[in-house]
Amino acid sequence: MAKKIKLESFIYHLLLKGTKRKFINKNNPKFIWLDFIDLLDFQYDSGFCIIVNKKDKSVQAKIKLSEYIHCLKGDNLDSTKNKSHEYQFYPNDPVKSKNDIFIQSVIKDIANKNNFFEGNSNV
Amino acid sequence: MFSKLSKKTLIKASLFKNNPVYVQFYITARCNLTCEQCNIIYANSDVRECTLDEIKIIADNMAEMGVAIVLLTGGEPFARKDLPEIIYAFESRGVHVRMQTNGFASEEQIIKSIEAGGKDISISLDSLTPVSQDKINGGFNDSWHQALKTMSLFTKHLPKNDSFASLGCVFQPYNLSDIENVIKFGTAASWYTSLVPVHVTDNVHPTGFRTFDSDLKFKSEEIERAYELIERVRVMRKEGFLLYDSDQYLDDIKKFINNEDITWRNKNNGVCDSPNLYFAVLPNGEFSPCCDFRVDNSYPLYSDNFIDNFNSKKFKNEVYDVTSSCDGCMYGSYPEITISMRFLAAKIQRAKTFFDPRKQSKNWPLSYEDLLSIAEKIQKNNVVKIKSRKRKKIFKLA
Repeated sequence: MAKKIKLESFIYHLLLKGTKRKFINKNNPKFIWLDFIDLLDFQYDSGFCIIVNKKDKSVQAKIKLSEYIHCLKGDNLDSTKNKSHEYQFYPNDPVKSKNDIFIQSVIKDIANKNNFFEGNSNV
Repeated sequence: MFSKLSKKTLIKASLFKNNPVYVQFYITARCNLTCEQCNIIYANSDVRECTLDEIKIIADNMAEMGVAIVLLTGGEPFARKDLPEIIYAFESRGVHVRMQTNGFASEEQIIKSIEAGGKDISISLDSLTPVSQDKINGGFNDSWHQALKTMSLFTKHLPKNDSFASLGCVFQPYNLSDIENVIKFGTAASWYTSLVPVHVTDNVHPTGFRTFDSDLKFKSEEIERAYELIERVRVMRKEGFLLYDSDQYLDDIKKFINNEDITWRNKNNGVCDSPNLYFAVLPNGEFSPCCDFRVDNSYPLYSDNFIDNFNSKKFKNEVYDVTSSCDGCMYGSYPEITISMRFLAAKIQRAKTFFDPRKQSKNWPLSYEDLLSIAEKIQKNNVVKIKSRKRKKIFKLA
């Protein structure tokens, strides 16, 4: 079966942004955040990405992929419904920003659920 | 084939190593294939695509910077309806366009793109065995035949003189037995072949282009066979087969697949030449050092102050932070440009590729049936048989 492009894109950006975060495990500081990320497995189920811990098979999150904006076209300016037109000449890409906020929130949720918090956080 | 602007930049870059010769512009992340060795369609689909108005300004800026060559890539660049207008935007400003396709471009798109000024094409072809190619392309039936049909259309519509055509072939464990045949096939059809070793990463080191499929890594017992193959294709090039890659690049492929340090960055203190000789542009028009990494700040190439930013120390330092922490890649064009600009033997070899009239003569046009016949003959007469790696069920059925 061909790969699900939107799913693969979501996984890539979750890993990319996740590996840049500096979380520390509140219960077990020796449990490294990157080792935890390496334990994650991603499965597709009817428009959702199910994130599973490979070790204990626990479901970490069920993400609705439609919330992730994917490949907003730039070549159909004639269409009045075209969304890319309104973003023209933006200094910062609003699509990239929205996706970033969405993925960072998923990462934070998974991290916190597993007792990982920002390095200097007391939360 | 190259404009005055492109030639001037190539000479300046060769002398001073600080002129962006080559830019990879990822004009879309959309693709109709999901090739096993490619991750870029996933990496670049989190951003919007530039509009044509923005691309015209990007072309203005690139022309002002003296960019010699822009590769319009993707995704599948022909997925963009406005590709001919994009090609014209660059060519009309003197920036040479290299087009790229996975082979699914229609005849109408090809004609319009060539009319817009495109005369340099690269098509992906990893095997002369249809079922192998279809599998590598993500399980899409007919992708091999489609690639040949598209090759045929380019031989029909591109000018015989003053044009360049090449096959991009990924050097990976599953097609080791096919690579010599691809080079022979390309040569018989007057197309160069360029090899790119497969790049593999893992969950904790995600990078833009590298696949997460660890099955594509060369196993230790396969390395020797891959080395022997590299030496054979080197001999083939000396015998006149149209292989684009330089000796140093081939040597570095051997090192790369065996996880040894590559050498092409040695003359620049172990760092690549981004952004001074090359860089990449995301679908939304933002600068990125290459296809693997982004910078934290946003620098759209359509902004008024892009060139000022590009020349600033702050910008160069930000890029250096990225490039200096990279272990290196073998993505064809980046290493080959550094090698061409910094090593004399490679410079001479490259000049011969583009300016030797014997190497530029072409037996075009070739029909799809002609190409099929060439492929069949090469497959039948293939004396050198290399045992290919066994793989998943669908592959064994071939």
